[in-house]
Amino acid sequence: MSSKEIYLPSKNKELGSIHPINKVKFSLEKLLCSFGFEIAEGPEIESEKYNFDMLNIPSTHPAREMHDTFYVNNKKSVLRTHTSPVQVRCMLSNKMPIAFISPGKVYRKDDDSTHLPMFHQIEGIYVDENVNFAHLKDLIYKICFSLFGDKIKLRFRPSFFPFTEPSAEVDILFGDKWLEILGCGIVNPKVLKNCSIDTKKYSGLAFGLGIERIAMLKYGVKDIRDFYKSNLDFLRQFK
Amino acid sequence: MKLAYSHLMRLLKGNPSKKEISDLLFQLGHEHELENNIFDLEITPNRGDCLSLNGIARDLNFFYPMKSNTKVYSGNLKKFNPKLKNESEEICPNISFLEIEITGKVKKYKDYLENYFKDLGINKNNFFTDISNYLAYETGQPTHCFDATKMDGTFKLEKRKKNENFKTLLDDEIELKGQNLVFTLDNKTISLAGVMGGKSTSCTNSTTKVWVECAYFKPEEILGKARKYNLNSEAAYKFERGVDFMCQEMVLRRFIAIVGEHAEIKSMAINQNLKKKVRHKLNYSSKKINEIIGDEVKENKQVKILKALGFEKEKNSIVIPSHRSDIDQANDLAEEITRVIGYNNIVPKPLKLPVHVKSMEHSFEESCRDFLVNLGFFEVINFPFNDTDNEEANIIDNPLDKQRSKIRVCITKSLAANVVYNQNRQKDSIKLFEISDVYTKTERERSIGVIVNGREGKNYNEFSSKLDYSYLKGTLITMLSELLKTKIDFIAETRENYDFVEAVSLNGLKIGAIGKLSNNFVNSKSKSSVYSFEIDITNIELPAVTSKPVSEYPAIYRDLSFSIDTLELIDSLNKKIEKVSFESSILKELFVFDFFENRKMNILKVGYRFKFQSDKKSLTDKEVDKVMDKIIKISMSTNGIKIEGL
Repeated sequence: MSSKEIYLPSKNKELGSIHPINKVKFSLEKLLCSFGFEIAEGPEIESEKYNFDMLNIPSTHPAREMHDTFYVNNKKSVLRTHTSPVQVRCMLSNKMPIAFISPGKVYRKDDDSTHLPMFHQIEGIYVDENVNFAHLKDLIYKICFSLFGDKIKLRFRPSFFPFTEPSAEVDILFGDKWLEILGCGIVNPKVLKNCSIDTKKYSGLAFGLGIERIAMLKYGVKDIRDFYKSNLDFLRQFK
Repeated sequence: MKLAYSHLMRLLKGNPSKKEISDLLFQLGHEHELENNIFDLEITPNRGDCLSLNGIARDLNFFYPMKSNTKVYSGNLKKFNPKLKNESEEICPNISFLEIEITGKVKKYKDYLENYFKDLGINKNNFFTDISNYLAYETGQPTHCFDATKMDGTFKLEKRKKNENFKTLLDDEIELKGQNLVFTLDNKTISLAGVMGGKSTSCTNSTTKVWVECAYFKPEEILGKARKYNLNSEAAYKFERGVDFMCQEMVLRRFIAIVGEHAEIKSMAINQNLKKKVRHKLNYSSKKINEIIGDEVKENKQVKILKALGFEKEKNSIVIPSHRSDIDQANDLAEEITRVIGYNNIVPKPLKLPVHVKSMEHSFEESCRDFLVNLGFFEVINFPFNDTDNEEANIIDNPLDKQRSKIRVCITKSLAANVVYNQNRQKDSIKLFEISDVYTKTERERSIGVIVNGREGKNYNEFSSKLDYSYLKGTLITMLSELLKTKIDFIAETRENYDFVEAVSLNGLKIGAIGKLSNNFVNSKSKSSVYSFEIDITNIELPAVTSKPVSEYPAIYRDLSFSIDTLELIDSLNKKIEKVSFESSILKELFVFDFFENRKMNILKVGYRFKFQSDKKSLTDKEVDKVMDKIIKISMSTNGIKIEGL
């Protein structure tokens, strides 16, 4: 015979959720750590030296202008424009070989429907003997296949980043449209030299992904600004 | 940069289709959109040499060789002396002038010139300016035409600091400020060098004699100038990215050829002042290139590619063409070769990263995040900008606006705004948290901020309960004490922005605060209470877990109910009981199992449950009574605390 209690309303509890950007960030960290990378973090308020100079971004580079970069406390520091300074710190403080990823918030002086003043990146660097472009391609394929499945089509395009040479941007074919997914390249020997690394012996590869872009593709979010409105109805979807 | 397919076809052999060109442009790194006949190219900032028809054709030369049918005046030219005093040779090492005069009527523009304006939707101006604009499109080299009849006076190129008004040839009135590189005539600025010429010496439809200035300016000198004066300058865009430092004579001779196709030339003469003439060389090793690429590209193929791109091979070195200011190391050459081979055609090589010992442990931060999510909290991420009055806040020199001119020194203010945002969207149960770095001028902290407002939950038990101070304090104590296995202390204090607040300490170290936020601070239309805590977790680590044998002996439970006169006495009672617990080896656990308050009847009761257990034996009632007596004695020693029946 059944008890009356089984007819009582259940006392359901609501589960909260990790922010979708962090969910994607943690997945990427897990994936890249499984490849052999270690996680490194650094300050968001950075010196120009680490954010630009050490990365072969000269004082005359447009990215350093006031309309692109947030300067702090009378130009004493900047809000880091990428997580690459963390990689510089890793190269300076570790013996080779190194393999680090640096996830985190970065800042650019933008604010419109498709560009935010703050967004998230995850960058990786691997420096060892005999690292080359063909190795970089292998890694990028593994990352993209892990994220989007091994049936996806990839396209490598030459691009320009002061801290890598050769540099590439990678597009993925979604439907009939190529979408840019990440930037990568062989670490510019000038950057290695700035970090006192023997460029005759060592070379490196580096890559960087925009986490918002991946999250938008993964969850079908159309407007990047939705991530930062803190709307409970939006956040409830990511349990 | 916009470029017409049909214009490119004038320069290339092989008649490639639009799709073939488009695919190759992507392969070479020139991202673009193709609409009808027009390629809208996004040239990377290092490739100033590709900001022209010739530049793109040059980059495609390996696949579709360039025709050599462009007319360039090849005759002898008289010398001309514009009497320019170049006081900025460091910035402008190479500068040439062509003086050219025409007579008679200008003929109808040839197809290539007419189509440049028609296909790209560009407005015509006057004959000489039209040629100058077209040449910038064709060669990538900006030129400027001064009306020769207006050039009487002392002519200088100088970098000077002088506040003065300057009217551009497009009639924009600007005020020059700070240091500027300018052409002056009798000490008056007639051209903002490399950016835009002035009205006073500009050409008109009636101009028949011009001085065509053709120069190389150091990119860093031009950088940001057009933006500074809010000028839309194609010339500045090109100079900023670097032009061919040795192309002046070729460009001016091409200028003559175009003029000659459209009008009768009455006279022409040239002036050249070239200080920068040496093309750089790089040591070349095909092995080194292959080491960078990770593929075996034969040396003759490497050299063939480089030659097609304008490089020359001299023994063991490569001479860099004067239009490629971006090339200065072996990696650059490797990129050139890889671009032409196609990045997509490089075969990936398996990469194995070194294996290091890694921590498998959860961090305290991860554990807190999981704990809060399991309790129904939603994680948010906020921009760190606000306009706090806190003097320790970092100040943004160039903020988006005044409201975002500082970097927040705490998370709570952002969370309060999140609560209001959700209240305004009819949310009546709000539980949010954020974990973020927080910065002051001197410190960087890792903080967790948590905020609650409204109903406790959505089931029939919790719907009518409010998220209150005891809920939030319980959440904090549970999170810290359960995860860290240590005691948390609270000390009431007063703080701005709180109706009441307690400082939170961990092992004697103050790590944050918990309290009820004031309505002014929350700034909400809703009158419902908002509670929050924010703690610094920078140096907090989870303790190592070491397993201990579990007691197999039975536990003894005792309950005690205290009648208390005022709420304030609860804290005192708690501390006394905890003291006894700390001193006893058999009192393993205690908690408040019952709490009753009836303000009208002035009744306040707190019920405690105590768990006693030994690891070594079964406890006797006598042993338990001994500890219970201590608890009773110590609690009854406080005025206002009683135990019914005693």
